[in-house]
Amino acid sequence: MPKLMVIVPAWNEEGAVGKVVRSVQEVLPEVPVLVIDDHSDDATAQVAEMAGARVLRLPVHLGLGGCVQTGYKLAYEMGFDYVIRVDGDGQHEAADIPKILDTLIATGSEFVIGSRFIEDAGNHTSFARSVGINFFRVLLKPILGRTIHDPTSGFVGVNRRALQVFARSFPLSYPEIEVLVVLQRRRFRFEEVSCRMHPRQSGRSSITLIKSLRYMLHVLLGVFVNVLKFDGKPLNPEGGQ
Amino acid sequence: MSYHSVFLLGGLAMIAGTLISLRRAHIRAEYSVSWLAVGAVLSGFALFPGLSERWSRSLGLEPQSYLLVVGGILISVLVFEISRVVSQLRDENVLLAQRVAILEFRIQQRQRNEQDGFENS
Repeated sequence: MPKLMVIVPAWNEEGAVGKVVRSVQEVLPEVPVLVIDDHSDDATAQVAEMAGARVLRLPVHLGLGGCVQTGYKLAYEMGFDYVIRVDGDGQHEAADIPKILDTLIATGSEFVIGSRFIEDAGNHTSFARSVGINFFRVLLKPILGRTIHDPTSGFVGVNRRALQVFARSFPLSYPEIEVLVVLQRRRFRFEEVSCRMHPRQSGRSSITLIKSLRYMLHVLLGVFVNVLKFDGKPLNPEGGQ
Repeated sequence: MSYHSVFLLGGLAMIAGTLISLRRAHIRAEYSVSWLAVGAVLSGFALFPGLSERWSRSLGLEPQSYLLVVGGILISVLVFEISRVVSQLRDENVLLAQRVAILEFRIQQRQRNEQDGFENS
């Protein structure tokens, strides 16, 4: 049985994180659930702990990328083979976690994305976010050499090879899109599987309409920098650069 | 007041401010060098106007414009250097915060395991 950990990055998600933890435990009762509390102002950590999660508390607010990377670092140090990230806002369907794990194992891919757009599985996305998703889908196609249906999905699974890389280097602010370029740069394989998404249950999104321009500029710059780093040679996933 | 006097005052104020901050330990010595250098360059141009006038003529600029351009470039270099240092500090801060959080988590897990073992014995 491969060692799997589910990580839940959470910042001010006291209204949803308990339900997220319980839903994961219902589907995978033997799998440890780690909530990474990104220095919340509310009772996120206590609610997660009460629900039965292990809670890693960050001493300062690092933002999504720093928060997720902390989970990857811990999982790597503790010898986990696979990590699946589920957001703490309740948008992801825990029942789809086995699908992501099975794809990671069956294909040997380093990265599997739970996508809400492969099939129209009742997804809920704002207009602003749809525009952003389509923009990045078009932008990424020539870079990745294929279409990624849901490049901003945070419902992802990684294997130990990807964990090793992400434990050392991971985009700190808005990781989802930059990570795809990092994976392509290392000639890592990634797959998409169809997953259901719900509207967020509480709290507020880290990608609001006001922040979307900044988000797009930031991500564009991150993609540009990672493309510039590309030297055309596959990098050794076991031994760093 | 001539523009030379303005640049002299500005340069001297920069040097004095940096030295006072150094003495009060508000700025570290390694980061004060660039400010002292900019203050010295601005003061030097003000004290030796022939120098700036000769160089400005060779570039086809008015001496006042020339000094403004030089001052602007120097300040931009300093601001860029500050951004670089802040970025480095931010990266180090993230690493430290992550390491502290992971160590704290592992200590708590160990204590919890020991406690469980103690209660079960």
